Formats: sequence, structure tokens, C-alpha cells
Amino acid sequence: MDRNEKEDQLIEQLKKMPQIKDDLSKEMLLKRININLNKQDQKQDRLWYKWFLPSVASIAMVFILIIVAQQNLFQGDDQIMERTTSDRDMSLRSDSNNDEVQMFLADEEESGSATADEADNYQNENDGDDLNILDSARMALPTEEDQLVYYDHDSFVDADGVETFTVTVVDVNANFVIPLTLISSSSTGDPNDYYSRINSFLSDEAIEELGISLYPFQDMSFEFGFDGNVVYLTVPDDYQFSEGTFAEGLLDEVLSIMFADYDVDTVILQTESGQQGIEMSHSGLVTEIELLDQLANSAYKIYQASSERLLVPITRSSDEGSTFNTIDEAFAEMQVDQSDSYLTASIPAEVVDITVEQTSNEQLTVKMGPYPDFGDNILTSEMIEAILMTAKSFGFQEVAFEIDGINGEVGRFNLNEAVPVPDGINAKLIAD
Amino acid sequence: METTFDSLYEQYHDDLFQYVIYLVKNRQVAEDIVQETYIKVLKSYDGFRGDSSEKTWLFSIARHTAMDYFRKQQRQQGKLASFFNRTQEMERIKDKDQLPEEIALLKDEMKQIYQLLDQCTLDQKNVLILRYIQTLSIHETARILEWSESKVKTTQHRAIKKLQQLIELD
Repeated sequence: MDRNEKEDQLIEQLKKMPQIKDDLSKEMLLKRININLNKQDQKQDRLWYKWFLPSVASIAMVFILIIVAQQNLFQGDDQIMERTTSDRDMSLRSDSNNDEVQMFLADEEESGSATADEADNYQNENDGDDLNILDSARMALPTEEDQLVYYDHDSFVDADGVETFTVTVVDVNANFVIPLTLISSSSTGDPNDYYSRINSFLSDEAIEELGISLYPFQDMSFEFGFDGNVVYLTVPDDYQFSEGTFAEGLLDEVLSIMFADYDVDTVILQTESGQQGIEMSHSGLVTEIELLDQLANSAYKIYQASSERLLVPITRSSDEGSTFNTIDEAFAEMQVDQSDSYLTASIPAEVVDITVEQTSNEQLTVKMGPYPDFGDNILTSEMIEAILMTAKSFGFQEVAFEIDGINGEVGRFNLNEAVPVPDGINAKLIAD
Repeated sequence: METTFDSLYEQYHDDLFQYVIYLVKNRQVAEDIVQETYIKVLKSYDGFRGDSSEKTWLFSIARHTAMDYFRKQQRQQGKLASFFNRTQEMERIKDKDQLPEEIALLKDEMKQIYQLLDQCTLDQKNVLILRYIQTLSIHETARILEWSESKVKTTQHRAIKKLQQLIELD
């Protein structure tokens, strides 16, 4: 068969390709279309709303500026007049001891001194403006990319064959553990598929973006035991826990958080050649590690040492190092910045009027007084996310928010209803 | 709106779904793209001027919607590839989707053709699907792809040659 004949045959074969039927019924398709059209309409309405308010605010601001500018102009004129009057008064003072004139001068001096104070205040406010500009990114409307928590029903999670699993990393100073939730789009459902090749998940670029110290699992692999209560951690025969590669002291915490969603209670350590135990530089030969509920009673703060912002559970107070016995203690810790650890407060320190009440065994109610930066912005959304995770660590299922000045939506959250606690944090999609 | 949908569905749905599923090779994605195509068409139906036939207009919107999907997927994969050290597995993901039942029942030779379509360029794939699998005319194909008819002819010629080469190499 020559080339042309082969090509003709190929064309015939293409024409015989079968019709692939659509399994979706016409009724179902129409229903989905209607739902989507409604959603888009609602989104349009919201967009209009989001556009309208800032526009009205901008116009109002322009008017205020015009009024202020006009007042300044008049004040300028007044000052010229005052100066003229003052000159005139100086001349009067030089040749007169009139009491009325003395009183008038006294008033003028007081007025002058008040103006100087105002100028100082304005200067101070302007100094503050520089800081405000730095924070302006957090005043933006929160988008999907700003989300630090995820729910199993989120669009990128809620699909057939999608599984999530947790890995843990360590901050740059190797002081605390940061959970990452990896989302796999084509899972077999077997955790061994992920944990056996855990060392391949984060590239050097990812480590840099996350602002974490070296990925702790570079040379490790994990395998679940048959009964599901035991995981085997295997390292090369010459593996050494040494400073700079992994914080040995955090190993139990790293493992406890990583396997918190499973029924694992013990991790057995071994080398590739089957030797039981791994030699640790401080603890000596360690054969197994018992896992504990490390995330209980945590205060969640924001960690940012590079471009990524991550939610981090903190289990001890920054001043005394004590664990949190009550959620109030955790909330107090959430208002503390720890800049040397790249941790920022998830609740602004300036918010003083905070009440935390246990409404039921499952529900927590959080009431907050006014704060000028609260609104539909990243700052407020991140605060809500951190509070939800903190509440979850104390065993609550949902949180009702009563935040002064906020009545409605903040990002993805509808605060008119109690908000369920998230399913995970710091979600990253991976391709399998 | 329902009447318009009924009319479009009855006349073109099978062909539309056929075009999209051969293009994206994933049932779920095809359903989403077809759905999105109907939404776009229904929203702009009143503005349809009839410069082209209803069918080529519908297919043209489907093509643009599919292109958006590919672009989005490319961006996401680029992002993922830089985030995760998984380049090899990213390659493998392309082939992970199961064969549709209708294709799985075919002879190996036909299955091979179905799979090798993905190794042609997107333009070539578009032309092969529209011209041969959908048996549309050169004129209709040109209207859908917004090309000249001579470009359709050239691309179709190259596409067949490429596919033949791929079969021989496989």
C-alpha cells in the first residue's frame, strides 16, 4: 500500500470513529445551566454592589477633600488677615496699653499655639500613613487565592477521585511545625501512594516560596502497616538527623500532625536494610514514636517568611511558654506578633473588646468591638480563618461571629449564620 | 430561554458533545464545556446576527470555551510544575483518563488513532475532528475555526500526514 492509499485509509478510519454519547440527560443539563445562570446573575449583582459602594465612598471622599481644601484656603486667607491684624496690633501694642488689645493678643497666641499642635499631629498621622500603605494589600477584597483554609466541598476538592492528605513542614528557624494539605486530583484512596513518595512533593522553588526550612522528608519514606495503627518510617542506612536538615526535637510533633487524620498511634523507625531504630544525635537510638494529639488547644497565627502566607498552629504562649488551658488564652496569644519568628497576630492587637462564649458543646460565639480596618478584606477574612481553626482545635464545630461594623459577607464567609470549622489549612493542589 | 435551548439541543447537541469530547478526551470536562457553551449562547442569542449558520456559531463558541479551558489548564500546570517537583508525572496525567466505552470497544488500530490525535497540534486536531469525525465541509470548518478555507485545506493535509507518521512510529 503506497502512502496516499494509507492516508486515504486513515481518513476512512477517522470517519468511522464512533459517536460518543453524552450520559447527562437533557433535563439535568438544563437544570445545571439554570443554576449557573442564576449564580452568574447573583455574582453580577454582588459585583455591582462591590463596585457601587467604593464608588460612592470615592465620590464622598472627593467632596470631603474639596471642602477641606476650601477650608484650608479660607484658613490661609484668615492667616493672612490675622498676620495683618497682628502687625497692626504690634503697632498698637507699641503705643498703647489697652487691656482689650492685650486680651485680643492673648487669644491670638493661644490660637497660634493650637495650630502648631495640629501641625505636629498631622505630621505624626502622615508618618503613620507610610505604615498604612504597607498594610494596604491586606485591605483588598479576599479572593480564592487568599484563602488559608479549605473545606471538602470547595470546588477544587469536591470532585470524584480527589483526596487530601497532610504533610508537615518546619519554619525557617525550626521552631514550629506547619501543616500543609496536599490535594490530589486522581487519588487511589490509598495513603501509601502518597506517603511512600513524600520526599518528592516539594521542589526547591516551592520551599523558597513557602519560606520554610529544608523539607524534612528528603530521604524518608512512609508505609502504613496492615492494621492501620502503625506507620513505618524508613531512612537510608547512612541517614543522620543533623542540625540544618531537620529539627530532631520536632519529629514527634511533625509525625503526630501529619497522621492526625488516620488511626495511627505509633511510628516505627527503621533503616532500608531492616535495622530497627534510627540513631538520633540527641536522643540516641529511637525505635518508635508514639503519636499524640498535637493540634489540641492551639492558637493560629499567620506565618510569612517569603511570598506565601500560611496559617500556623501555636501550642504555647510566646511569653511564658505555657500551653493554653482556655480558648481565651489562645485568643490573647493570637493578638501577639512574633516578628523574629515571622509570625503575625491573626487578630489585630488593637481590638480590645473581644468576648468568647461557648453557646453549646459544638458552637462558639465570638463578639468583637469595632476596629477601623474590619470589613470585606483579607485582614478580616484571615482573622476569621484563624479563629475558626483555633475553635476547631478546642473541639468546636462552628463559630457564630458578631463583629461590630460587619453585617454580612467577608470573602467566602456569610457571617449572618454560624460558620462551620474548616476541614484543613494551607491547601496546595498537586498533580498526580 | 427554554425554547431556544430545546431547539439548539435537539438540532446540535449530539454533534456538539462529539466535537468537544474528542477535543478534550474527558467526559466531565466535556460536559462542563458544553454546559458553558450553552450558557454563553443563551446569554447572547438575541444578539446573534446570523452572519454564519447557527451550528457554526455554536461550534465556534464551543471551540473558544475549550481553548479557555486548555489555557487555564496550562497555567495551572505551569504553576504546579514550578511548585511541585513532578514534571514526569505531569506528563503521565495527560493519559490518565479512561477511554470512553464506545472507544474501548474498538479494534486496537482505531484506539491507537484515537490516542494519537493528542499528539497532533491543537489546530491539526481541530481540523481532523471537524472535517473527518464530524464530516463538516471545508467551508463550515473554516467558519468555526475562523480561518480561510485554504488554511483549513493546508492544515488538514499536514494533519493527516502527521497522524500517519505517528501511527508508523507507534
